Amino acid sequence: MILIIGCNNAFAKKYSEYLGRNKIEHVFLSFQDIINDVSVFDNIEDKSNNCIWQTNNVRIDFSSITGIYHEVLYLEENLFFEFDAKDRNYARNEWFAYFVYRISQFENVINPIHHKHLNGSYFRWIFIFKIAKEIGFHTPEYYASTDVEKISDFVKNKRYIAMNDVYNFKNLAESTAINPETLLAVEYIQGIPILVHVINDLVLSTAIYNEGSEPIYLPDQIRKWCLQITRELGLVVSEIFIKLTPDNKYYLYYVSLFPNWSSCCYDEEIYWGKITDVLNSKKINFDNYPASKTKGISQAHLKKSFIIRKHRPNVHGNYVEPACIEHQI
Amino acid sequence: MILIVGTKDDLTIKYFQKYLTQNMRLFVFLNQNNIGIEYHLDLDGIHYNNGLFIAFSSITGVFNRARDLNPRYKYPKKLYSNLGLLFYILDTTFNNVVNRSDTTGSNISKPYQLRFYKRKNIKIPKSTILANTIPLGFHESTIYKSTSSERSIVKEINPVDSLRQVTCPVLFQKNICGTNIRAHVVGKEVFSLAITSDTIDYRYSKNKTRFEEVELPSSISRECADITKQNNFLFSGIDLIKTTRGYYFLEANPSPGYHYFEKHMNEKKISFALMNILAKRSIK
Repeated sequence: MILIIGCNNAFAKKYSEYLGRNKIEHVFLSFQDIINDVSVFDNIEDKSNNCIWQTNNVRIDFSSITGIYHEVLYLEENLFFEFDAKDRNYARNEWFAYFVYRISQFENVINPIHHKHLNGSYFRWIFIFKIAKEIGFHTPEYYASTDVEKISDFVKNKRYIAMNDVYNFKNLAESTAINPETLLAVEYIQGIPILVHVINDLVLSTAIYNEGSEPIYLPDQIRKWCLQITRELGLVVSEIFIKLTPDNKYYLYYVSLFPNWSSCCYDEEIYWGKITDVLNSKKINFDNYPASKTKGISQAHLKKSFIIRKHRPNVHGNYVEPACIEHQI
Repeated sequence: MILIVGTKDDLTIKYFQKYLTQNMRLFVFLNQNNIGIEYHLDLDGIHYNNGLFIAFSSITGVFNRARDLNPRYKYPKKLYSNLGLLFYILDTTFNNVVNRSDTTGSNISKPYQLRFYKRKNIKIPKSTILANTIPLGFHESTIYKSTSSERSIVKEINPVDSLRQVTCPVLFQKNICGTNIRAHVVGKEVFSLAITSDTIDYRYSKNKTRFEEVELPSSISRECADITKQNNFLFSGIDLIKTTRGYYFLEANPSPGYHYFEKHMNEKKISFALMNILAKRSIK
């Protein structure tokens, strides 16, 4: 069974619909579903672990999950609006910590969770440039500084993209001015924008024109590099933005962990099919994973504990007592 | 020259600065909250407003205690992006960083650490995470704490707790009776203290807590060093419990407030080891 954990966005829903149409066993749970309505019982021991999630009408035994498609990299604060305002940040951290653990127990995950995803390293534009250059891609020139005057000096007589942080790489439009918030200037290169979607060993490339988009052939070397950078970033699925210049050079601008599938001009059966192959293809990465059997806790507890609340009170997130910052040791 | 990064009210930073001063080691302190105010950063070095420039090539090692901004307070928007650049520089420019932010991701989740850090000799306690339920059914003495790196006071579950609703995930663990051990690992060196207290969480004991330097069995020391190396940490504070059945892992802290522990040691061995490791040539 495939588990989809995500926001209530169109992509996760579309994938769920695809699995439904193809009669592939799956469960789709949004973050909100899980935070509000899923009772979690997750056991960790030296040689085994087992986990059950229970909702009003579904009981998920993780020993039957073959793969997970998820969007756990950041939990929006508005997911926790039912918590007291002072508890929201705490609640968000606790759920995030749990999701990271639970998802990391699986080998078949799109995308696997890695240390560098957790602290944001892989989202830093210049970090991606560094890796891309080592692989062989052309990369744009850039200059990063907290001093706006120095950035202004760098962009003189250049076409550039001004960024206010080192993370956000979604807006690639040419800039006309440096503002006080600018931290990074990246060379703007004239060329055909190409979006490459990588799914395991499959490379789908789409050229984006003013009139619309269409599939485009990429040389073998570029396809190979797209696969390589995806793997080096610890990903199974990625979206890579490239610019093809008139003199046939391929400049890599970014690699995203969360592809925008609506930009991919191929039939959705191709990419959803490939993702499903990945999520169904391998064994679960558990050490001596036992059959659904709980240890250290009574079966009576299981029955009692999975009483789903019909009405959620505005509860405090803090079951545990937070410690004062002065005591940090 | 050693670069120290963090906030000016950080007690561990103050302690290490004092140690370096006493030992006449050159260091520079970067207050993470003053980027863009007192100084500017680019990929080559630190540009102070008074014209002074410190090239990163002159830095031998970085003692990094910079952290994400406290979400409870509001800071200027630009400070968030400036910190992003600082973290990028620390992660990519130097070899000797204690510790780089890109290595500390596992600290976000205690259960993630439990599975990741288990070893042949160091065991992990039987643990259960519960959410949106009531924690009935624990027949053994059980403690509970936060699942994330949020600080929490570790407590033993009592009959009243058993009836309280758990909403966010809470980590319950079998109460391992034994002696608390804090092992600080600097590179391959391991410095350990046994800690005896009348409370489950010795950090919050109202009575006197006893600290005693101990030498761990070589197999345990080796595994502590392994855990540190596996995560690309140069420095870690590992919490263990020693029982008659062996050693149990609780958590590994990549940014330990080691000064609290070193004050209970005969010599400043941790500071000495840190100073030495950070004095080596660092630029990548």
